[in-house]
Amino acid sequence: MQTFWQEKLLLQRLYNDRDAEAFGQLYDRYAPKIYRYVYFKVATATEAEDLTAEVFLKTWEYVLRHGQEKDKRIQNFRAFVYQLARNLIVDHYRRKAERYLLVDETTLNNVPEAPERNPYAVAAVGSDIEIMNQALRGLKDDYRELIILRYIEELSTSEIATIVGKNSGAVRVSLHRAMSALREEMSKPQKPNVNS
Amino acid sequence: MSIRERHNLKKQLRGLQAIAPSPRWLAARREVLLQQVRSQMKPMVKPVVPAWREQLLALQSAYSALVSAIAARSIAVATLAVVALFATSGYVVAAADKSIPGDALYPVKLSVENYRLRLARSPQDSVGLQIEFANRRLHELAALQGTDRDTLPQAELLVTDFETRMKSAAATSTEIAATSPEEGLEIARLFDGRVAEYQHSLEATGQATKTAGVSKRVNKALTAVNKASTEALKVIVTQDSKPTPEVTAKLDGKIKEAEAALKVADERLSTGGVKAKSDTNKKAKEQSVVAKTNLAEAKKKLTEGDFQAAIAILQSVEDLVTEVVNSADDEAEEAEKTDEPTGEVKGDEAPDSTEAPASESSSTSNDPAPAASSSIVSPLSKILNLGR
Repeated sequence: MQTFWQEKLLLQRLYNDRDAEAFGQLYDRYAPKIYRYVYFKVATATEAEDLTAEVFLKTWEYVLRHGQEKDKRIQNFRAFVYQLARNLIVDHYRRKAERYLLVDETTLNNVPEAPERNPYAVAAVGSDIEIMNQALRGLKDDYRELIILRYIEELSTSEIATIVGKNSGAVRVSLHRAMSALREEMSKPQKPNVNS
Repeated sequence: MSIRERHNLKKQLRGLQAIAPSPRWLAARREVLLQQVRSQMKPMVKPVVPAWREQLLALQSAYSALVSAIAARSIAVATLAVVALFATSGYVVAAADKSIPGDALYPVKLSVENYRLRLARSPQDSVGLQIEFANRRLHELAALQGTDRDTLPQAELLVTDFETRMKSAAATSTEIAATSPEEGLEIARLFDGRVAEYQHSLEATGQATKTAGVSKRVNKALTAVNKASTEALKVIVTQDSKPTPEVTAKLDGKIKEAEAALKVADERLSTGGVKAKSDTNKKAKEQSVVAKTNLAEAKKKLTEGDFQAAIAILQSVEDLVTEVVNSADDEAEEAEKTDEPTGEVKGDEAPDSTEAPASESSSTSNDPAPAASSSIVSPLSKILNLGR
């Protein structure tokens, strides 16, 4: 796993050495994460893939455009790509002009099975996802995003603050409230799966 | 909310990390993305880091381990050595990319090239790498000529390496085209697009150097490029139902070049003095006649629109033309050594098989074609009998 300093080195190689492979390694680390972040915000896996690809393409375009301007270089790649993903999702729905759902049954069916997991584990994950799906769906958009970024993507509160455009204190308070709201949602009786 | 409840909630949320894109999609997007990055990326300009000596020492030890591991065919150890090599000296490897023969890091550059070839995942990757590395040899040649060093031995080696890689790429391309026509076509077009650049670089090298050794190597390399380009055109013509005017013009150009080369060779063979009646000279002249007949037939097929037959004839006659030209060159060299009158051959320059006024070739094709000598098997008859 890459450390913060290894990531700094990759950025340095990208800007100073024009090393394409450095960008490839950054992609390897963050593409699955961005995909997952986007996945919870769009309707289908295909949309998640398209948006993820667009995130990295636009990141590269940014690097290319501002490579010579030291004050505009990316200092924190993680925060940058999440912020970009967030903006692209907003644009995506502006273009589509529709309310987004968190995860629907179609998307659930697209969740890949990890081949190394035993059937009981798969069933457990499946049911957990379904429970989470319903609970997260009942939350406000802001609360849902904070929970995804903090507890699924495991970003720090300061990074989340950068991404959502708030200060760290406000993020911490909102996170606490979001978790309380999530617990309340999960304690509600589960709605039956209409497709079962 | 209690601590335990919070803990369980977090655990359940972490479970959602199992959601992931498909590895195949990830890899495919990565490839597309990096292709764009590489094509838009400017060349690396970073100078070697200040701790150059320390890094070079670390590199040398890692390099030695790599060479030993490869010699022992231990891929695992070699991989570790390469990882150590890159981890300890990423900047040195970057600097090695710019090195030329004579530089301390040049062996590193070659080792990395060989390692990349070994790791090539497919024949297509291998061909791409061979073409890239052949390109590098030409750039190094040009860079060498700009230095004050005694560059002759390195120049000869560079041209030889270029020729070897060309032949390897051409051979692999033929195999790929046989099993995967679309990929073979792509490679053929890639190569076809670079032929002019290769020829130009080699010819410039040939003209810049007056040494017979390097010039001969250059000629051999040009022959290899010519053959590979004919093979590439063959793949293109086979795949395209209607070859473009550009392809037609290239084929016509090749026929004219071969005719012009034969014309020059004929002149040399005719002015060889005492040698003009030797067996080698006679054989070369007979071969020239056969070659000219075949080229005339190739031209006819091209005019009729039978591109595949034209290329087949051209491929079969290329070796014959090379033999004639080489014989003429050898005779010319011999004549220079013995100080016999050489007619039009200039004593200071090694003959270049590509030199010839192309505009005179049309008169050659109108000459009556004498019957081929019975001692030389005409490849044309074999080709024309195919499928009948």
